[in-house]
Amino acid sequence: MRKRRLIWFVLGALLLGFVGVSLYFRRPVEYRSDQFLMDTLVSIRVFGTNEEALRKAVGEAYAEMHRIADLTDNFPAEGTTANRESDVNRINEMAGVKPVRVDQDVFTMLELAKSYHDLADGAFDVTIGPVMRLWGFGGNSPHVPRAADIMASLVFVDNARLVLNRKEQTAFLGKSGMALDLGAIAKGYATEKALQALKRNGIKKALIDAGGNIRVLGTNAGGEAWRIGIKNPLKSGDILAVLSLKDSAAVTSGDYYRYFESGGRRYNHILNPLTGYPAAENLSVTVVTKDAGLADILSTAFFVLNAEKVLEVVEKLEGVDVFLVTVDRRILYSPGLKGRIELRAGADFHNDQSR
Amino acid sequence: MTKADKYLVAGILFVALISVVLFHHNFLLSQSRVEGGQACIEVHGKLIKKIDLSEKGRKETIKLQGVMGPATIEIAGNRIRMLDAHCPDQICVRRGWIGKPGESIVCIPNEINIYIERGDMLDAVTR
Repeated sequence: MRKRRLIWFVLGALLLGFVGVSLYFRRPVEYRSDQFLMDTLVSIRVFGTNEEALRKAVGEAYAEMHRIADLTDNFPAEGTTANRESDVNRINEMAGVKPVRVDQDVFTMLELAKSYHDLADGAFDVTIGPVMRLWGFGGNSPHVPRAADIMASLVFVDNARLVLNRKEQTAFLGKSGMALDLGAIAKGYATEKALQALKRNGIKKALIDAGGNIRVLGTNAGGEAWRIGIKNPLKSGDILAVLSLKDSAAVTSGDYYRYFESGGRRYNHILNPLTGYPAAENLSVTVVTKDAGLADILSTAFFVLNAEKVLEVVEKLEGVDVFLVTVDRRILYSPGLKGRIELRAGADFHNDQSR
Repeated sequence: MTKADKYLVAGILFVALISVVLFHHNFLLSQSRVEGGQACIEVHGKLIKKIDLSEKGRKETIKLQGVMGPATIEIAGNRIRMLDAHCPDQICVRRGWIGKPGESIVCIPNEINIYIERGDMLDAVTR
């Protein structure tokens, strides 16, 4: 009798143990969804154990991105000439007329943009709109404008005349003809919003790839740091280095992403707000930091600045790291990346790190 | 040890052996899958075709419907390109041939994404 009870006890314990172990080692499910938005291809990958929950979380993340895209769009809708009804377009239309009440997220983006304008000595300026338009970036026929026209449009690039009122939550461009372009911040900010939506839905492991703007949450499916390659700016399909990242964003600005060629020269879409011409200091700049919105702003600002200045600025910023490739093919990165980066650069580049 | 015990031990050893073999087999299979040049074609976020580019002497054109209009994709040898596409900027057509793991052709207006699967165990690439 006692023996029999013992057998039942052992069997029960084994069963419980088995259920426990299989629950613990339950195969993580991956759910992936791709969408074209904000003029790029966005891919969200999440890991968990309940596919339905993953699907719902990703749906909410995309909803956030669409919302930010609609608020910040400053181009006409496909096939029309009328501007979309967005906060950014309303601010632009009311330039020199009156302040416009805006969405909380637009306000936050503008505040961020203003604070980093000063930090980057004017290398980052969301009032670049008129010059972007002049070059035709964003449209179908970009071209090199006349020098005199660039000079004339620079008059309308003036960060100090973007007036923000936190109490009223309004934004005002002080002069008629001024225009905002949030192209250098909206995608990163939207990516961060999407990630926060995933987190709210209990997601612990995720990767968002918004056209090469990367934001990771937690670790990869194997429980290790995510392995993120940095594109070789000179060679398609080639990797310069591999970053090991947890809970971080990596955003790259490069001269190869959006550009046009004219008279044998390449003109990329990141304009120096001080000169009105495409930045020509770097081939690519990758910023690694927690927040994808900040990473987006800084990668654009740093792309305009020279390498030594960038490293000087990064030293002052907590939790921000940078990897950059200069036009003379030097590779430099901030000390904070040591131990998180693995270089694969070939003979085309000069590793300047051992200074 | 009784006779039953011996059977039990033999049985357990047999199961263990089978699991090791199966595990390795699976492992090898998944490893080899990562190699080979696989081209993936997605339209509107959905994978519609996977093409093995390692097949020798392959020549093929694929016509498909993008979001804005028709597009033709050409495969020759182990390369793939957008031959023509109904889109205003023609960035995808000018991109030319791709074939290396990690390379991609994206036509934003048509929402077509062609990419070669990566074999380098990277989770993503910042660019």
